[in-house]
Amino acid sequence: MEPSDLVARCVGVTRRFSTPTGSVTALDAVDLDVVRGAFTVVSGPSGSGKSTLLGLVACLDRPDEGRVELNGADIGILGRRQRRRVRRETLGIVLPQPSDNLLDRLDAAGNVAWVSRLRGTDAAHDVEPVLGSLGLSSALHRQVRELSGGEQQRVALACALAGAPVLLVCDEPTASLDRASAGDVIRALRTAADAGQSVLVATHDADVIAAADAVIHLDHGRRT
Amino acid sequence: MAASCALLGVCVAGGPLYVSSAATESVQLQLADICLSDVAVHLPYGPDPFVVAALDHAYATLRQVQDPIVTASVTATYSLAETPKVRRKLVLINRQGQAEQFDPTLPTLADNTVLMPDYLLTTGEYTPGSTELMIQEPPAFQIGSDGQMEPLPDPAPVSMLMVGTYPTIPVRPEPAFWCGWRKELRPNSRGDLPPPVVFANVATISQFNFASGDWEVQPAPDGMTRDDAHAFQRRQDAAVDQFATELGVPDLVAFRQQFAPLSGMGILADRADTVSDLVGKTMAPVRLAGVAVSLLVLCASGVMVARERRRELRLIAIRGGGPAASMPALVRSMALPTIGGAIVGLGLAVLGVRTLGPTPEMETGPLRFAVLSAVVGGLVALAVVTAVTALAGDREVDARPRRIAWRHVPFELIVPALAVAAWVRLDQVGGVRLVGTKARGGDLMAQSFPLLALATPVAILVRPLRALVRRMRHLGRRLPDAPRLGLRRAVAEPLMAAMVVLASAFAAGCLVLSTTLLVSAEQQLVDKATTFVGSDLSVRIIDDIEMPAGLADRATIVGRVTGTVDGMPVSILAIDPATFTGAVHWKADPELADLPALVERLGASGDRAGVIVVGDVPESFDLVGRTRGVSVPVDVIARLDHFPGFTNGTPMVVIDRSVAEAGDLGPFGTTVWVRDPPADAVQLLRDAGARITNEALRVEDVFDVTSFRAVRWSYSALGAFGVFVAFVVFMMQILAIDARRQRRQAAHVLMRRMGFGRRRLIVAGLVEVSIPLILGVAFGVLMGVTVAEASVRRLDTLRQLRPPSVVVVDVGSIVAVAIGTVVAVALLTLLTVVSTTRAEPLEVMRGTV
Repeated sequence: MEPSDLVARCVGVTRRFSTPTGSVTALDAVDLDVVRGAFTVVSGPSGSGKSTLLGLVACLDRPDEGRVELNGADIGILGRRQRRRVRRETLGIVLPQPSDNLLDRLDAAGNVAWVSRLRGTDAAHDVEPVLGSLGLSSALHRQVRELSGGEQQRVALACALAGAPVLLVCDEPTASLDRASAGDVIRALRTAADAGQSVLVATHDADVIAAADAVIHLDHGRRT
Repeated sequence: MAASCALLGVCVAGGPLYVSSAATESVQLQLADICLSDVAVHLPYGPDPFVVAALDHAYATLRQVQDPIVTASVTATYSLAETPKVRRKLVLINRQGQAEQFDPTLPTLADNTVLMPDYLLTTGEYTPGSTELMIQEPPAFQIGSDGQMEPLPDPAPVSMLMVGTYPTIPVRPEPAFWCGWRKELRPNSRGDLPPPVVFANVATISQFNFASGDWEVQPAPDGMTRDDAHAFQRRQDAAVDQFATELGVPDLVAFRQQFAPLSGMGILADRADTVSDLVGKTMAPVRLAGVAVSLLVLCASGVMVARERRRELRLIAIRGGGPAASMPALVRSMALPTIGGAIVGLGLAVLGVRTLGPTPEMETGPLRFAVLSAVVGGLVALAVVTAVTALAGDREVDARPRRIAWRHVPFELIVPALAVAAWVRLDQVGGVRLVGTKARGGDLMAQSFPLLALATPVAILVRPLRALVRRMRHLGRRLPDAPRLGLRRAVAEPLMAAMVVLASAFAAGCLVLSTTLLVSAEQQLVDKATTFVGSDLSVRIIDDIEMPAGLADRATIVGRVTGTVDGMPVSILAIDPATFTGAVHWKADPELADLPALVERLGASGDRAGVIVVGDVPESFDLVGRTRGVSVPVDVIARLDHFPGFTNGTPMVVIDRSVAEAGDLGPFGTTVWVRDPPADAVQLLRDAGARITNEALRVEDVFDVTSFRAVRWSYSALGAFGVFVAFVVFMMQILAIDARRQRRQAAHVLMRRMGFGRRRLIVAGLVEVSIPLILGVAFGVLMGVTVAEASVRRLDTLRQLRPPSVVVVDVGSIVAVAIGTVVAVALLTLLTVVSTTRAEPLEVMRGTV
């Protein structure tokens, strides 16, 4: 596979955390390739290092060892400001808890518009098509607290997709949703991937895994 | 947030208001202490309409003044019909409103009738209603044709009838109405009475060529601020100029020199400026520390806000928004509490200074500056809190691993280093002090020593104490469960526990230090004043007297004369051993503990007399009286650091007066020293025949009253800072209790089922809260006293005077600190227990509280 086919790549990344009882290795020399336009899933049991790996790819953390590349560039050596820019312009990030992805003080459209503005794209152009594509046309001006968990997570997905990021990084996007809502989110992710959006999801939800193009399995911080 | 901004508001606004209040109180004290005539506007008065109009215009220029008082007077000579050749001086006077100064009011005088002081009746020469005075002016002069001054013919005497007397006007002090005429009322330096002041009406006085009129406008002292005093001075100058211009005075400069300097208001206001300078300099470290602590609290508040709004800030950071992206929302939500808090702080500062400061009067300028400071402080607070919150929020994600372990760098050593530098500086320049009307010494670094010395152990002990507390996690294994729980909770968060202990210590230290400095400074001034005066009262007299019975057990007569020892000047103090120890303060002075025994050893033994010396002189020497050059061989029987009556750096030799007189060391200047004098002590001396040469010197009058007040005002600010830190510690504890609330509630829901009831919870809370506070306060009291020991001598405002200052610990302040600690422990325990138990178990278990 050509390097240009990869939107993200991890090479031998290791991440350790200090705890009162000593050092814990969350990731141990893990490699990961995320193919452009593919729906890639990182699966594994709780504590296997999925979220840690996604955090490294999403510029939310730095590895102790190894390289993390986005579009072929090593993001581990970038400064805070540049990494912030990478997050803003290149990545769409979805967190497990729906409410953690949205600003309470704004409505659904406001949240999407806010992210669009942050990315420097045309907010008016983004809001309705993105929310509409996720079946949220009727929820445009509803406050976040008035939305169901599934709706909130789809709005979060809309926020992540606003401005067409290079890579969508979703950490356990269905973890706190019921089956029906989870189904909505999975369909939305699949649709995005089918539209050419690169998607990287960490999950142990079998339905998400089933919808993926590629699955990477982690256990105790190692790839299996 | 609002509370921390209010703290900042109090700090930035309180400082200038307090300093201004001290200056204004200085003006008030001076006005209460001085003669208002001395600071009044004086202009020449004449009955001509254009003069009266000019005076009216001048009066209109003035503000905050009383009604004018016009005084007509003339100095002349008089003779009585029985003794026409004996001419005596008198002062004829008519001071507007003088009749009303007496009870009963004096009668209205007809032309050419006079009232004389009633003390003259004792001479038997005057009979009211029949004594006729022939009053004559001194001859006037004119420039003759040869250009020389030549006398005009003697003016004809004017006959005046003495129609009565008025009660003699007391002197030293004179009544406020007469204080401007003290020169005419007081005996001269030899104790001789002055020419009589005789009352007549204006027409009677006006017939004399040399009659003069004085137009006097006194300030209205009530509520007069320093600004008002300066304004009074400016308006006085303007009034004098306007009067001179209106009357066409040719030499304006000379006119100004004659009339403008009469007012001491400028000097008074300058002195108030000096006091404010002194208070400002002394307070500067406290103000700086107050602002620093407020900013620290603000930063801590920012971190807490960031924690509270963590979800939103983290989301902004995840989406790639920097601190700038989160700021608009933060500014919107925090503008009201920060600016509002600063304004509340301003209000508290105004209220605090008005109620607890030197005076409730407020100057407009500092008030305006305080408002501006509070607004700027509020904006700075908003910027700081927003920035800290935004930065803390930004650190929620992608926190770069620390390449440099900053936490291992001992930044805290900066504090002891600064303390050492301040110590050195304080030794060099001394504490801030009043020299004349100027504040000298005590720059910011020097004045910071007490605070830095207090902060040093706090800074040094943070790490070791934290490490120690960390090792105490398993403390109290054998204790019952309630105190064990309290103990372990107290040490559960080592940094927090260490901070509470040390911050409490700092607060208690500030309070104890401020009161110790204050009480010591007060004692120091009394000690120095007593040494300077000799006793509580010192009265110079012309001749020796038989001590009146009312003073016999507490007064002594000492003689002073200058002498030499090996050609070096010394001050000789000749004392009467029999009465000396009863008339001076010595019992509380360790240096003078053996005074009675020492004094008994004075006197001649063989051919050499024993002397006590202060200063550098040989063991045996010939004491030479400077006036007559006669010498007396003496041996030193004791060397002391100070002795009653020691006034300057010149060595002092204390000798038995009988020996000194026998050796002809005099003539001596004679002084009576009185310990614990009755109010009429000076009168008793007069009655005993003493001719008093000058004003009696009292301990309380030796040093300018404002000097000590300024020291008091300065150190009070340190105490206020202690209260401020204590409040911050208290708030910190409350916030910590709130932060631990949910965990406590969850634990309590389970523990309650296991029989851990409210009473045990109270015991646990009491142990948890009291241990760090009590340990901290005890340590702080110790620190406060220790730092005071190191500071008092160096901060001595009168180093040049003996004895050196001593540390006097104010037990009352320690008791107050102890009571405050008990109250704080009780409140915090109550809060801990209530916040833990006031929750629904189901909600607690669901985590929805």
